[in-house]
Amino acid sequence: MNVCHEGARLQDYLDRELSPEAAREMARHVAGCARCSAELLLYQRVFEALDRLPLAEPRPALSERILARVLPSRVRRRWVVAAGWSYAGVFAALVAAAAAWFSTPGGRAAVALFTGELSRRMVQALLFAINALAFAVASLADGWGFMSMLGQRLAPFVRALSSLLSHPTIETALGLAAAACVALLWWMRPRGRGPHKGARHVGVLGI
Amino acid sequence: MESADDPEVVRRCLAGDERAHRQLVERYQRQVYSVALRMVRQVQDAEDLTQETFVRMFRALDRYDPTRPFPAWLFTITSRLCIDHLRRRRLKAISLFQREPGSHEERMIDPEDPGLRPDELAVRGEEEERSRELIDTLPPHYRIVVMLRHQQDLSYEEIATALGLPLGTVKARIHRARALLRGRLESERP
Repeated sequence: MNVCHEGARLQDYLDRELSPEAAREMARHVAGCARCSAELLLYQRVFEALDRLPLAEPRPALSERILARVLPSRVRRRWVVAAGWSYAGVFAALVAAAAAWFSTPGGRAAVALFTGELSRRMVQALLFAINALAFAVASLADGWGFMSMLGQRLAPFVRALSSLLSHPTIETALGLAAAACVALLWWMRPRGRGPHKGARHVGVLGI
Repeated sequence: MESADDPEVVRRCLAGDERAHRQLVERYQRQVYSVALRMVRQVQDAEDLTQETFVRMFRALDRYDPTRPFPAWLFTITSRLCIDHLRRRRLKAISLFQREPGSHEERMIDPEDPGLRPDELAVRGEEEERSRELIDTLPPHYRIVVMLRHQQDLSYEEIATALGLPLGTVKARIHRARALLRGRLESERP
């Protein structure tokens, strides 16, 4: 075979883009053709040089820089900070505008009128609050009367209940129940460490 | 280079998992940065482009098709950003495209590429440095296809998709780029 291959075909051969049959044919040809063999060597050097190309190492701060822009929590935080600064900026602009307006004679007159009206309204509001407080106190005093009346109505029931509790049998039963409760609590008290070292006893009351 | 669980990591990202976000950034930032650096050849610009790539990638993550290889999709964004960046940088001085003699294909010219500053050049092995020098001699439209093919291991089809070019154009550019490099190596031979 005396047909010499072009560079593109040699590249396909090195790139493993040729069919197995075409690749075998190319290998046979290159073995017997000095020109294609030299050409193939040159392309092999090109391929080796390109395959050696290393990955570049970014500066360590790059990761954090990227994450600051993409992590949902940090993006939200940036929005909150931006909103905060916007609010502060708008507020400062409003204060500056108000100060500028107040420095004009018309502005000062308007502010004086406004503050006069405001103080009048505040005095009115204070008087209303005092009145309301006095009314509440008077109503509460009347409420004590209601409580006294309620006590008189409930007195017979209270008397019946106390006579029932003072019956000797019930009194004894209640005393025994109280003693049983105390004994139970004493039995469930926190005790010293047993054979399981490190395990902490916890009673029903969490003690 | 594609990891088997890329679609799973993407799914977790879409569910708001911040560890998955971090994982995706750590997995691909070197590759993206490497392509960007070789394309724009300035550290600061490469970092900006890497950051912008990830910002846009996460914004568009819900449109990612899990049946496609994730790196190919990611490099679509990277390459477009790099090309736009180069176009903006060069439009200031001179028209970006030039027709090659005897060809219908317009190519991007590289008239004022400053290259890396000496302080930006990492001290690496001689061979790696030589590889970098070689690839830096290529015009940007050849450089990007060679980077994606040889450094990022993308197939011709994936490169064509990433760059929005016909498959034939991608193959032609890669072959032409290697032929240029072969010529340079030959001229250096004693």
